[in-house]
Amino acid sequence: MQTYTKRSNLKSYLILLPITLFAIFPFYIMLKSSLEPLNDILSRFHLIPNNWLYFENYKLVFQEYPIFRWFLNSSFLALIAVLGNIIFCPLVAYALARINFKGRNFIFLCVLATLIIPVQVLAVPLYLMMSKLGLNNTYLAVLLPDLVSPFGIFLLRQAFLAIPKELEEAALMDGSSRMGILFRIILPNTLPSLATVASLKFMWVWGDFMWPSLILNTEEMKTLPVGIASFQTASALVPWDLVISASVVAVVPIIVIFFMFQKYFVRGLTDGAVKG
Amino acid sequence: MLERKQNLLGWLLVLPAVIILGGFFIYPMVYSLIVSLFKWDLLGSKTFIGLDNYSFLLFKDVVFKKSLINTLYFSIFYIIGSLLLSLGTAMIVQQQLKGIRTIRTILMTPLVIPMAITGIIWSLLYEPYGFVNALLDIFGVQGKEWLFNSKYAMPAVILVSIWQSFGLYTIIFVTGLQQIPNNLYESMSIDGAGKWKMFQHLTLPMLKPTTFFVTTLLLINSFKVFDQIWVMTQGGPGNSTITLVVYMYQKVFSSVGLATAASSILFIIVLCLVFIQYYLMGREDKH
Repeated sequence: MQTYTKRSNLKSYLILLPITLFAIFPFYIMLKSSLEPLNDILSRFHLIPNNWLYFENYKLVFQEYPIFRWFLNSSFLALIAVLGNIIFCPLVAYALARINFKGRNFIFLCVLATLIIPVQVLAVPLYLMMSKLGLNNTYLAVLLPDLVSPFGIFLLRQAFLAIPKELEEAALMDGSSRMGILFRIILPNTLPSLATVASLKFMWVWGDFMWPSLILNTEEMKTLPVGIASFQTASALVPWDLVISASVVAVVPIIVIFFMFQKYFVRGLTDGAVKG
Repeated sequence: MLERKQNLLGWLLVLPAVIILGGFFIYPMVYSLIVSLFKWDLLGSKTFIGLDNYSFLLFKDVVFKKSLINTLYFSIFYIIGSLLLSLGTAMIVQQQLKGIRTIRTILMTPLVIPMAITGIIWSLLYEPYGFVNALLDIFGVQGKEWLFNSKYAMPAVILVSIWQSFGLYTIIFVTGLQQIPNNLYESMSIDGAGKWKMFQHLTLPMLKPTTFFVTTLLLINSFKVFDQIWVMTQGGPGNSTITLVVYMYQKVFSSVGLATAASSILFIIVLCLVFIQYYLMGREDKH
């Protein structure tokens, strides 16, 4: 029996090997190409770069393109969006979960409705709206639709509902205010959900493409994906040495954050899939 | 008095949602529906033309028709490929193997990368002297100009999309597989059923709700596909990879009316799919 399971385990690993390689290999190619001069990238394929310490591409890309600015733009937008969500979503979610006010059901219905609307559908009308408001090419235009997310409200409301009502009633009897309860009882008990909302929001804004590429059009305003994509699609001859090392700059932070907070990411991604 | 205070507090707290969701989700949606009834090229003036934008898109515009057909083409192969790969992978990673958690995390990694960057990475892999052709060369297969050939561009884009998301569907399938009671497997194996038989007569039927769910999810996501296509081919060559959202994006600056009409059509399609999903889920729950 022992040897049987060992052998079947071995078989599982053998099947998993190509699948795992499939998932991870493109990242390796990206990394190794970023350490090669353009000629090497475009001629015969090498599995291993000639010189692991060839950093010219990185030097060049930081000189030739406002990569650093794009990096700051992406970070700024993502952080503000996260901040907006962890401030506003709990307030909204708490009201929807616990406070009996007139129109609550209607608001909740609206949140559910917005959960369904794909961002791709909103991009065109949002572009028209922002142009009319004179907000074209501003951070504010990128951020406004990102400050509160229906997904965050929904997820936090679920988490708040799971906390026993008795806990709250006892605190109310002791003279706590509603806000006191939210900050001292509810939020400390739902930090994992808050972390999930924060990590997902960061990932979405960091990687967002369609909306920022519509609304941002000067070099210094672009985010990393928009900027990098613009010099990839600009000409038929792609400057791969620069494009790919810039891509590494865009990918590394999000991978680091993913591995740091993977528990929250995985939960959020599967929850996000389940709830729209 | 207390009731009034509750109402005030409630509305105060939901105010951010009312402003943001109302102003930047619901209002644009309604605005889009209205604009779709006008002829408008962004710079000029608007003229009301009723449903003409819709009838033009649905009955006259060959490019729009092409984008619909391409979206369907994309979704069929994206769905089949994703289902097979993620179910197959799930069957293995659901086991208690050493290091399986790390492997599961690795499979999820493509999901967190910005989709546009994913498109860029794969464009490099599809270069004439890139990795894909080098790999095919080992097996003696002639390399192709993947993204510059109207026959191969779409399959190339589909593969990227499968790569990006199969980790997520794998995890959803793992959750589904773990809900199948173990004693069912035991009683079947006592009856002498082999592995394949168990998969066919127990695993697959028990996984039906999960499969339905994943399929509708894949379908909804196919209709939203944009970033990777825009970066890799911009809808070309020769409109061979133009999808609904790509069409929309191309039309923003030339005909706002058509762009918003296309986006309304997209919304209606997604809405229908979401309702089908809820309906199926609800029906499964009752069983």
